[in-house]
Amino acid sequence: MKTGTQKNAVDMPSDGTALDRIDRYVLGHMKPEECASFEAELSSDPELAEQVAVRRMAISAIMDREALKDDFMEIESGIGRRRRNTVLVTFVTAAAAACIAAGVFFRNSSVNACRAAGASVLLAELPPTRGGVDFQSIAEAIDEERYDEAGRLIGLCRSEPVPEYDLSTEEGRYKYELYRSDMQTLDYLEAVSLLRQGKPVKARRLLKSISADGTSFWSASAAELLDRL
Amino acid sequence: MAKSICMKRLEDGELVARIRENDEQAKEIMYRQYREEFLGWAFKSMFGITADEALAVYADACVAVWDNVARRKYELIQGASFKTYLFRVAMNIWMNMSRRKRRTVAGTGPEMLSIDSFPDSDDPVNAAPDIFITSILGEKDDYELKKEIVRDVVFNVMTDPCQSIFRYVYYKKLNCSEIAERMSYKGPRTVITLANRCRRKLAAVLNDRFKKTGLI
Repeated sequence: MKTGTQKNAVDMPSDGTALDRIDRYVLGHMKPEECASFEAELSSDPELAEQVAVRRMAISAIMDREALKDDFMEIESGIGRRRRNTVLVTFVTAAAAACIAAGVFFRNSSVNACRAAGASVLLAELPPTRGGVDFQSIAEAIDEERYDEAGRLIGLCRSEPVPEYDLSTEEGRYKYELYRSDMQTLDYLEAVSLLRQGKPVKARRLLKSISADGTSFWSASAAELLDRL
Repeated sequence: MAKSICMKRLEDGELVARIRENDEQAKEIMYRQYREEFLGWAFKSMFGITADEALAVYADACVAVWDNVARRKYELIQGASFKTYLFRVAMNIWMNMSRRKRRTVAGTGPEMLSIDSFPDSDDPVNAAPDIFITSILGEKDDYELKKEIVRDVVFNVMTDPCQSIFRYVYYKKLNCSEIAERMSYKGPRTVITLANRCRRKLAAVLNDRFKKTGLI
């Protein structure tokens, strides 16, 4: 069998590929007219026909082998992917556990700070009621850690209908101010109760509103407690 | 096909039987079954091999062994393990690979390495001592014999850069510019020239083989 270099002069491909004429026939890249012409040539040239047959075997073998290699590479990728996912899952799990642990740690720290801040408030130093609200019972309930009782008493005071004051008179405005002062003290007491119960979020919300109220006697104290939380 | 991480380990006989049936699941079982052990052995036995090279060698060995067992219907002789066969093929692949690496002259660009700078063949990658394999089962007709010879020459005689050229041209179906880029050649004309030379070389070797076996 001749190597066929003269008979099969390699065409310069116009399609940018490195396929020669035999390749293009075997792979079905020939246009119908060219294909028909080539097949006519094949039928009269046994040497060319042999080259085509051998080339077909070679191309088929290469494609089968490369497909097989791709199968094994895909299995390897799967192993790599599973390992990366395992590493990722392990990392994410560890990170989540660390976050939870950190969250628990910080929450515990926050609750402890909250309780400490509440404990630092001496309820015996409360001013006497101005509008007739019984702060003493509430303060005793908080000191004795009867927080539900303290909350009930605070709620009772708040549920009392707002007295009507004649704000057009000096006395009316004075009594209204006393009433407002008592309400602000109730808020402060509720904040202290929340602090001592270890509820920093609720306590912080209430203390912010107290500290933001420029008319409140307790705004400075609330600001100090907020700093400690 | 549902994939299971924990795969049943196959005995040699069962593995060979499933390979000959072209059982797809057996591919993954075979690959996974020997992978870790091979990597450990490769780092000890194959001097200077990198992790990527070890995986490449292992994949090539699996391909060669699977192909040989599935297509040529080889059977393992009793007393010889499949693992030993696989590892021996891998060692041949590695020896060829490292020999080719050593042939690269310092300062020589890729285009200086033509197909003529390599001998006609390295050790056949699927070669294994005769104790591992029986001869081909049954008689083959001329057509089947020719196919076997073509496969043998394409995979065991033709080396790089021809094997890479064939892969990119026929399987990956890349154009000349893409091949030139991948193989770091100057341009598409170099690829065309090399492809033509590889085809001529393939034809010449096959012609010689066919004559020797009396097929022509």
